[in-house]
Amino acid sequence: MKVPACRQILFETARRILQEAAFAFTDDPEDSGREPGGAFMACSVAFNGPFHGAMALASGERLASILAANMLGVDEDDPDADRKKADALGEILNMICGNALPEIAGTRAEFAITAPEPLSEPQFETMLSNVPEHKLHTADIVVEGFDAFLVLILDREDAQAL
Amino acid sequence: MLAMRHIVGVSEMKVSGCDGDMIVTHSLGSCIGVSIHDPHARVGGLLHFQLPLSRENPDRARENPFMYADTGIPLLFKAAYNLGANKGRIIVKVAGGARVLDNNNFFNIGQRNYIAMKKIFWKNGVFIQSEDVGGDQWRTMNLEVGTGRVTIKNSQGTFEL
Amino acid sequence: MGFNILIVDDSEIIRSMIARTVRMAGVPVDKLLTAGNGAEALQLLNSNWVDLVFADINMPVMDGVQMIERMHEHEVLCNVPVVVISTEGSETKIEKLHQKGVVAFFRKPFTPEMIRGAIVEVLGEWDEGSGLPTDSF
Repeated sequence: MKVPACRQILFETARRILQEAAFAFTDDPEDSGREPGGAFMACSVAFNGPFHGAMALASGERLASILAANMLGVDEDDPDADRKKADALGEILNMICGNALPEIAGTRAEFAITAPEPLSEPQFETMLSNVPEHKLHTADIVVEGFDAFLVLILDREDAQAL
Repeated sequence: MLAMRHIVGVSEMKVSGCDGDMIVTHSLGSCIGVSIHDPHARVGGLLHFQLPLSRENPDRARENPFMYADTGIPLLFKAAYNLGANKGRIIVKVAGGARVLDNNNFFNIGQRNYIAMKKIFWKNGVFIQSEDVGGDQWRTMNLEVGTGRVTIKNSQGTFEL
Repeated sequence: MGFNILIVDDSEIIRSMIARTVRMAGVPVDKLLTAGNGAEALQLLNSNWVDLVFADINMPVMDGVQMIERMHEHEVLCNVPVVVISTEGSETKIEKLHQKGVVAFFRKPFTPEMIRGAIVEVLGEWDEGSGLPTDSF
């Protein structure tokens, strides 16, 4: 798949999921001032089907906590939101991956998606640096005024030709 | 008592417990009309909010809380409770949130209004019974207080929500 | 007399969201059971009467498809209605699930209205008010 098309799918899917699942406002990176959002958090899922690959989502702790609060229907300072922030980020990623893959591969393609795993900042950086550029698709997205970064690693030989 | 037709302007709210009354709001573009009705108490209310969150301008929200979803929606429900409505019985119908150019040249206000409203309902344990949102249509919303019947009028015609 | 409802998902936050919707809907509930995977769910199903199951597909240990197949083969559990709520988007997989007796399928993200609709469909209407104790209005 051509890089701009893939980025567009990532961006649009992420935006829809963040709005529908976590009632979060999203902006294009150019549209909004960014805020540092606390310590680094990231998670990844792997998928296997007609082609395989992985998806990862990185954000600050603050955003993850807001997403958790919105999903749970509690106040942002609720201790439950803080406790479940990694789970919230993982589930948002899981939903983005599950909804983006049929857009990329068609609705009849079957994929197995692994459970979300947390990633440290060095693990995230290593993952990015180890992937050849033609397999890497990324989307920056501003969520509730905070930066988030979505990565898709598409491991298919024909990825460029589509 | 003589039946009345209440008009709800932009950033306004009306409630009624009179059977023959109608509550109407016109020109819903990116704004959202929230209709609530308790069929047992025969109480209805309609809010026409304009913007999602009061934190954007707390002074203006204090002046007119019905301008914002997060300050207007709780007041709509509380006004209906005062007339005898019960939360567990209240039926919620919403319309608007269209993708039309607003005064600030923003196209996405309608969508943000919808997201903010859904968040408030989720947080407060409220379901939406039916909705007619999005698109690029201007709408008029009409609530019959006695029956709870809500009708939407747009450029294509009138239908029941 | 209330219903027993089982929620099966490996994500705690999703289990909380479904449980919240069930409480919001005001369904009379005796037991709201939760499990983190299909194997845990089968254990609960074998030791409790369950009226309705909400199940995810992708889970560790035993996934939702395996769990539904085991239920389908069981002489009693085959009658327990299962509603699948999953990120799974493949039409092929969804068709297979319907053949195994799944009564409804919702793709995440779900809305509370979807879940309530499924509950009404399976359990029928009930006469109860909204059941969230922490409501602010």
